[in-house]
Amino acid sequence: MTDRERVPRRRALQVLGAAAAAPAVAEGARALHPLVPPQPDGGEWRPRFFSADEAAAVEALAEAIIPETDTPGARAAAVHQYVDWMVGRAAEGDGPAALPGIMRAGLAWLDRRSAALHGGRFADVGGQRQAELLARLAADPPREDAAGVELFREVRRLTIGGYYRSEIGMRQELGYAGKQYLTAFEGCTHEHHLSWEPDGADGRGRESAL
Amino acid sequence: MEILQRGPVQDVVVIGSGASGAMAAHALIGHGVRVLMLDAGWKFDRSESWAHVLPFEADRRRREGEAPPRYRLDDREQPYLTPEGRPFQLWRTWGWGGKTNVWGRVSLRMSDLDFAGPEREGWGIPWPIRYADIAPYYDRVEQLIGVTGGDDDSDSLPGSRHHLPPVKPRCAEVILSRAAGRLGIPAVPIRRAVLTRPHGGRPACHYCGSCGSGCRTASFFNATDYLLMPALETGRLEIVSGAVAARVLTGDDGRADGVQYFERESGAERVVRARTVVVAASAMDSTRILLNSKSRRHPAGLGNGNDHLGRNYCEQVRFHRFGFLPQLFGQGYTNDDGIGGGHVYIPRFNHRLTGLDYVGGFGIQLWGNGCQTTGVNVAELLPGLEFGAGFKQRVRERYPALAALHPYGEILPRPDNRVTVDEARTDRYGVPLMNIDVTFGDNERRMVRHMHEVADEILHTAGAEMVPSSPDEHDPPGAAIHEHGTVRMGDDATRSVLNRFNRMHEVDNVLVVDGSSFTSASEKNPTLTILALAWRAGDHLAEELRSGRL
Repeated sequence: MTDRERVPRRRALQVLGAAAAAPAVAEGARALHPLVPPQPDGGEWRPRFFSADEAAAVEALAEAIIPETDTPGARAAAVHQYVDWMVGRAAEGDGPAALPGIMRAGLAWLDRRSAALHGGRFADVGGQRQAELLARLAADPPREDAAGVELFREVRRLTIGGYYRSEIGMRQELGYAGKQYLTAFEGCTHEHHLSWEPDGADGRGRESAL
Repeated sequence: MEILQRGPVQDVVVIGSGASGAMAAHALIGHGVRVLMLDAGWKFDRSESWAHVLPFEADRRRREGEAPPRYRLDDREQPYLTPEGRPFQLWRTWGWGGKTNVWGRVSLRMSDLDFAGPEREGWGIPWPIRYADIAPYYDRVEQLIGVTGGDDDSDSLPGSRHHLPPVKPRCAEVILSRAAGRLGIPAVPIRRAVLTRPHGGRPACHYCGSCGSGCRTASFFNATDYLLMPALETGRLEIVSGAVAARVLTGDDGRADGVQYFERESGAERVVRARTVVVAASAMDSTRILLNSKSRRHPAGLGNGNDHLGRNYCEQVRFHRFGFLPQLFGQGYTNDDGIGGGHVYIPRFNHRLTGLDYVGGFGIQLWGNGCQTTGVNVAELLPGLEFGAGFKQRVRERYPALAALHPYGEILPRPDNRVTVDEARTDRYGVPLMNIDVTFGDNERRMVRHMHEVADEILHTAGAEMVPSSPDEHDPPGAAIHEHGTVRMGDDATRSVLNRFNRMHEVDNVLVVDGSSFTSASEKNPTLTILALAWRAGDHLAEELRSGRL
């Protein structure tokens, strides 16, 4: 190995060392989703935008959207805390201005609807009934369900953003192991890809429309 | 306000330290010329890059008050205007090295298909140069900065003997390349200014794939490490940071004699006197500076006696076409980071087809395939409002299978696509703001349709599960960050602003060396050509100074 080749590796190690010296990740829910700021008094998480009931509904919604399976779901990744933080920021002018209103009106609609259908708050009616209600919103709901559809759309968007950017979503669910210092890039080494022919069962690709 | 003149008369003042300004300065300094450079920002510290910071770590740092280097200028600090209903996306970096700190790094040689395209197809004006004029400078640039690539060579993408080793394709890129090949569309190794082996005393790429956050090891070309720092070591370069150039000043004879700028921190007005001025502030800001450089001899802006300055804007229209490759479903995470962006490229091929209802070419880039992104993209691309365990499973299954094609098509220069300045609306220094008015025309609409057909055909041939899209959709003007044409070069001084050496027809001691000088845009990413033209212009200026003609 020449000197020139040795230099980069040493540099890379130095940079890695610097990264390792970064402040330790905070504990508890903060660590699960570090976007969530700590409580000023160091106590248990309390929502900054939602009421306790609203937060419970958002937690149930997020978990219904990305549930625990063989890996943890949205609840374990503290997605509801992330949603509360994002909506709270929007309410303070840092985010979509319509978001807080959509959330407030939508969550009220959700509990009314849930009470009418199942006699209880959305958070309390159980996974099966929650899923049924969301399935109606995901399909083609009547106009009077508009508040619910908007709520579902926004909570779903924030749940996707919160879950798949979290450590649980990236590492445990999808196995992410990128942004490293590597000495080589091997690319695709799968023989069945390298020799793949576009002559699939449907016969597409034989004629070009170009 | 008190106006302070800064020091003695400079031989050359260069406005801007990005690819073009740094390269022009590099050339001049190599010939022993002294250069004073103005940059609107400051030096970035690449050790502060967040390239290796994962999203959840980045979120925590932001909350704790940290921030990565500010590579993108906040439009609120320096606004630009657009007409109602005609958006334009402008991406500016103020600071040493400009956009090269975070650029896409695609490094393609333009060909005589590009340089002779306007007269062959009957639009715009002819380029004043041909491939043979610029090829020696492509050679020199590639050897200096290091460009990975293959040994391919075609009429639309000339080959090079100077490429660093090519980088191997990812799974999705292998399958898409084979599908394109079946359609008679060749895919070639990407040409990118990334060091796939140590080069010029700099370490090879470490394949984190996060180049867009800035490279901690300078393993891709950035103008600061590769050009400015060596130039500073000669003692012949001085850089004034935080200097927001406003106008090129002229004397009674109409020739340039200095530059007016404002200190970004204090707002104080300053003047530096110069014998020659090289404008390299990036296409849009250079145009703004020249339009604002009005005088008795140049009432419509510097060198604008023929009303071509600011007009003939051109660039590329692009869109993003996605699908999922069943061959890769459930493969699990694969580290697809590589050198960031696509590892293969589909060069222009439409000139080999007949019966097209438009002119100009397009190429296809392939960034973001496989596990290069987070699951957020995959989840958002799945149609409908799916949820639950099935949704989660579908995202997991498709995460390694994302296929992404990004066609870039040439926008033709049109006089009405133009930059102007609005005397009634000024920036924080009292200097008129620019108004950017760009729309795409019928030729572009027809080309976009064909680009969609081709992208769909490649995905279909690969057997992809298609993400729904519209055959007319595309990004807004400016999105490609490849602005050209507003200070174009040409042999006909009545229809162009610059001559074949990037020198103003009307003002012999002003050169404009950034992308605004392009006569037409081509379908290609421009930075390699900007570097080659700026080096060539710097050589020319040095010779003119040496011989006493300037």
